[in-house]
Amino acid sequence: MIEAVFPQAKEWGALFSSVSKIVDEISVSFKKEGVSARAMDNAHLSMVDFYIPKNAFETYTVIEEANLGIKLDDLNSVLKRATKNDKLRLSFDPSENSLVLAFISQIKREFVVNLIELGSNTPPMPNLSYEVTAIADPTALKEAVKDVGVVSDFATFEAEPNALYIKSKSSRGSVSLEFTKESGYLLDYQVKSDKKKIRASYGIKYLEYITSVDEAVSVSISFSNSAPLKLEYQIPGDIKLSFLLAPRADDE
Amino acid sequence: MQFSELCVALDALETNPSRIEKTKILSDVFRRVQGEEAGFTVYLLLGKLAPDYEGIEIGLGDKMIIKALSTASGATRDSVEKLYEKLGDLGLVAKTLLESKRGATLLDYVGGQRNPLNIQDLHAELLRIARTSGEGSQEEKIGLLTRLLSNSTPNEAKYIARMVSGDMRIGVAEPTIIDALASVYTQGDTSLIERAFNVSSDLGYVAKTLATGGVEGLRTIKVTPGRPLQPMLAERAASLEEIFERMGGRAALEYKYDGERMQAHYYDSQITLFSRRIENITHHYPDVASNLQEGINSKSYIVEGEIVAVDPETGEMLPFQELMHRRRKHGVKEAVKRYPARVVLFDVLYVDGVDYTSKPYLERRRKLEGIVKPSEFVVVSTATVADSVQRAQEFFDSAIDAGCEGIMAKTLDPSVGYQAGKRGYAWIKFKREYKSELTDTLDLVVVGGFYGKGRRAGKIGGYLMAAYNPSTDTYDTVCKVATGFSDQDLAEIPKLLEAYRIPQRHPQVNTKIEADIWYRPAVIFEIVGAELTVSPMHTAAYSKVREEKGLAVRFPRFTGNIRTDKSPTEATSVDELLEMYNSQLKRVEADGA
Repeated sequence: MIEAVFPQAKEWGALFSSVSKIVDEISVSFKKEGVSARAMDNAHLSMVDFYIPKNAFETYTVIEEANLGIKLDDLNSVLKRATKNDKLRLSFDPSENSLVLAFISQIKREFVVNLIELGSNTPPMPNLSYEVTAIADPTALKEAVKDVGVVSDFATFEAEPNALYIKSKSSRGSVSLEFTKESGYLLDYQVKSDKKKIRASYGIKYLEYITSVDEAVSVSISFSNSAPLKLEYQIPGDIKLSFLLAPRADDE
Repeated sequence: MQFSELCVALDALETNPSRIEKTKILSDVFRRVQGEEAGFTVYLLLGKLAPDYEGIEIGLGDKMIIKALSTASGATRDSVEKLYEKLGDLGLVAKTLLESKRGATLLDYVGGQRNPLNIQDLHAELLRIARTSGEGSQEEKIGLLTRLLSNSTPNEAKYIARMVSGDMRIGVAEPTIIDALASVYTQGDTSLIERAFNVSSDLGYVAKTLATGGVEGLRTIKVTPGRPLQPMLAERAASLEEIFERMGGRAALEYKYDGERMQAHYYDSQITLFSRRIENITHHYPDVASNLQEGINSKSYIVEGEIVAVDPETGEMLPFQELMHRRRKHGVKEAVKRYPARVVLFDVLYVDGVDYTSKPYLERRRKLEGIVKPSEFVVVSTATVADSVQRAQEFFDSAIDAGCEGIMAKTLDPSVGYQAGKRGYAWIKFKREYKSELTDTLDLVVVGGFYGKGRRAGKIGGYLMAAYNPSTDTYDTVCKVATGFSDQDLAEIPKLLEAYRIPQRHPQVNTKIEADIWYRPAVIFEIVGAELTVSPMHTAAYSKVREEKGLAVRFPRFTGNIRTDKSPTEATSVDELLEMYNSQLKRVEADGA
């Protein structure tokens, strides 16, 4: 038995719309301390992971913990119907194989989403340490990825002591974008390495998917030489949404 | 069996050009695969997912495979394309890319295990890619292939990429697989396996049946409506004399129609048409399908015939090229109207539970004639039994005259049935050796007219055309033309010709054909045609090319031009026709049909 009320229905919409860029189905775990899910896409190139702590909810009651298999298309078409000041009430009764979503404002609108059977194989989170961490404006990152997409199908992240570059080139031409703290685009920037340059490349399509997150206030960008990229979004309501993206072989 | 094990065999097949070695390698594979797997293995070896007649295609172009390889390996599309240019084989590209990829999936960072791929799962996964259709299916197919490739080893990826691009490059075709199956199951005797394949056209099914039911199981594979047979094929002969020599002085002869060979299967009120290459062509010929259902009186049957294009106005046969308008994906309805087709049946293989393939020619022919209700669009091939070269020559000439490409001779030996999948001298084809293509238009004189049929009933629908013969001052006939007339022509031309109408044949007209109406030679039509042929019916250049034969225009068509500027003696002369015939005469190229 689960019952929870979240103050902003639209933020849930933003969250699941981002998740659905990578996977079609996900097993969402409702635990006593909060709601979480993690999944890897079919090609094993990207991973999505989110966590909403209990105290982000107005009310949160989980009598029996449960993993709910959700078809994201079905859930998103309901969440899209949320309007600005709607609260979201979620309820699940183990005897019914469905999740009830209610938008609460002046009137109450209730939707029932049928659940699906999914294995509870949550992929393990790789234990990685990152040599570069930058906190950036999510919109700036999204636009940067779009810029790179004009030229090529991959983006190289390159860290120098005082600036982060996103670059690419192809037979069509090349592109280079510079991010510094001085410019205001980086809220924080740390390079923990004595190497002169740290660089890694990632597929543009996945970058486009995972930088499309709406409603986030900031994003933390972490990577190491030829290692996975981690993007961690802060979404109001204490929602943490992060993505991991496998590196591509360097193309030089 | 794990796919990786099969890949080891595939590598060995690729590097071993000897058929004997290939057979050994395959035998070893068939000893190890079990049950249903044997069927999937055969499909994979042949680079297929199902028998050809099911028409299942993976539907991934090179571009899409490159996209999937780029994502699965982490290399840019540019570099994948460059590598493809260099290696020329997407299989090698896949292998190279996956070998050089460094930690390109997240599994490498979480210590995740790849699930080993077995043959059955691979087959199911490829089938899923093939069956994904509709909006957004391209992206979905690429996604499924990407997943498959990222979960495979470099060597597996090599063969998966080859499989989806449609060429396994292991030099294995059906006969080698049959040899290998025979060495495992029938002490090397291929005849039973070949027969099972020839009556089912599904080697995967044959292999599965062997693996699950052994040789006994194989005997259960019978001629079954819905499962196409490999067609019986004919040898060719250089002369009619040779035919009679080989057939023992007597043979059945049939017109050899210039169309598309098809096998029709009917059962459970469902009809399916298969091409000579065992593709399902039902949707190209909905008219043939429904005409057959009307025209054959049986609950279930398999019949063979030739689909020929016919002129919608006159019902006359048209050249094979016209039928190609029917081989289209869209606008089939429109094509049916513009290019109607007739089916000329020539054999029956199965009727209401009885397998006719073991029965001799005459019995099959009698059965065929017994079940077919001939109509405008469903007929039985013109046939005769001949015991002399002279009689065969006459039959051959009448076949050419009727627009056919030659004749088929079929053995009357009562011990010979329909030999599915075999090419032999039980059937012999004899085609024209030479043809004289017509490149110029001809100006021919109208000497007679014929009343039309169907839409043209009661109106003049065709004309008897003649060339001028200056040495005898006669008009010698060359063709009947009924094609190329617009509705306006059909209304106007008879009025124009009315002034020249006479009650009987004009004394200057030299013809063997009895026209419905006669005209005084005066009006000249411009005519085009496919070629000039030798004809017993026409009198132009009579006995010049062949004794007691004239020259005729094959597939004549009115261009729309009436040559009012020319007088009848200025029409194309028979000498010009003769010169055209000789100068254009070319050997008919062997087409392997």
